[in-house]
Amino acid sequence: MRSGRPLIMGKAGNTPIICVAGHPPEALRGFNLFGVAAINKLTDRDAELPADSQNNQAPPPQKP
Amino acid sequence: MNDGSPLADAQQQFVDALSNKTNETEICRLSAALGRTLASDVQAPTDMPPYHRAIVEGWLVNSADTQGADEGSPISFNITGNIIPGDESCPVPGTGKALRVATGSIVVDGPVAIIRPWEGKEDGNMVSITRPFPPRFFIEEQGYDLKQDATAVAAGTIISAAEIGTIASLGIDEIEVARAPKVTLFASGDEVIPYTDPLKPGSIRDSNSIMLASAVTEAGGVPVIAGIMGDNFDKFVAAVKTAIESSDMIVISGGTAVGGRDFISDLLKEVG
Repeated sequence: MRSGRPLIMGKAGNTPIICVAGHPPEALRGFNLFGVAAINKLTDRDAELPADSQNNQAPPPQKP
Repeated sequence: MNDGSPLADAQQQFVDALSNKTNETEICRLSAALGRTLASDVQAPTDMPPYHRAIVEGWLVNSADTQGADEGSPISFNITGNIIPGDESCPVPGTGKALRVATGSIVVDGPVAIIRPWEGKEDGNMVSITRPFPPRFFIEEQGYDLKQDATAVAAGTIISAAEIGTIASLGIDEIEVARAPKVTLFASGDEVIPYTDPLKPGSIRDSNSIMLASAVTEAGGVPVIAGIMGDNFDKFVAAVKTAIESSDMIVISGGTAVGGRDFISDLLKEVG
């Protein structure tokens, strides 16, 4: 993840703990990447790892 | 599928570290099954379709009677009856005889064929053809979609409208699904206020809790909004420890940026 938009994952016993950024778009992005993957595992779903919705976005514009 | 990227590796490592809960299932009515994960295969209790059926309307005849028909020497059949959806049986058309059939009607087994409306010319109680028809022409065989005891929907499938339709067509109303995990959500930070409160200078509305709760629901979990935790470490640790006892997963938003990372890391160490 980009600097300033960190994610922290851990476990307490068998309980996953996911800490996402406070910035709402990044909070949702972090949950979609790791929270959804965790729920898929907990429910034994046949699902691929969630893809990053920002993967194909162009880099931010550079100053001339 | 892991594409080998650092992100995918991180996701895979995290997921691999978790234990699944395949033994925890519950029975769910079909009307409430949307988005749930099927925990055991749903098998067809009977062949589907349960009888041979017409997939077009037309005239049912013995295939052998149609052989030799052409433009120069058409063959005619005497129409002796009608078969419509809901009829429980279909007689064998006699030699030189035809039965009008409607789409979806039950059709007899054996070397019969359906003449489609544009391939026959009806005149009174007679229909004539100018080409031969192979056996079972435009007839869907019993069990064509599913044979009895075949798996209709496999365990692990996320139930969508399509699966609900399939399962309903089998006459099944209760299915075994994975228990939906309970996900407790915390927002962190002294500056965070409920999103319905008036905004004060320096404060931030907690839009994350309700947003992430929706995302949890969308992902198949049951969200529990635990509220906003200030920056009191001991209180936060106590709240998370309590939540862990009744939750399958914890999500904390905020406090992961550089300035707060130690706080969250320490919190994880404390509760982990």
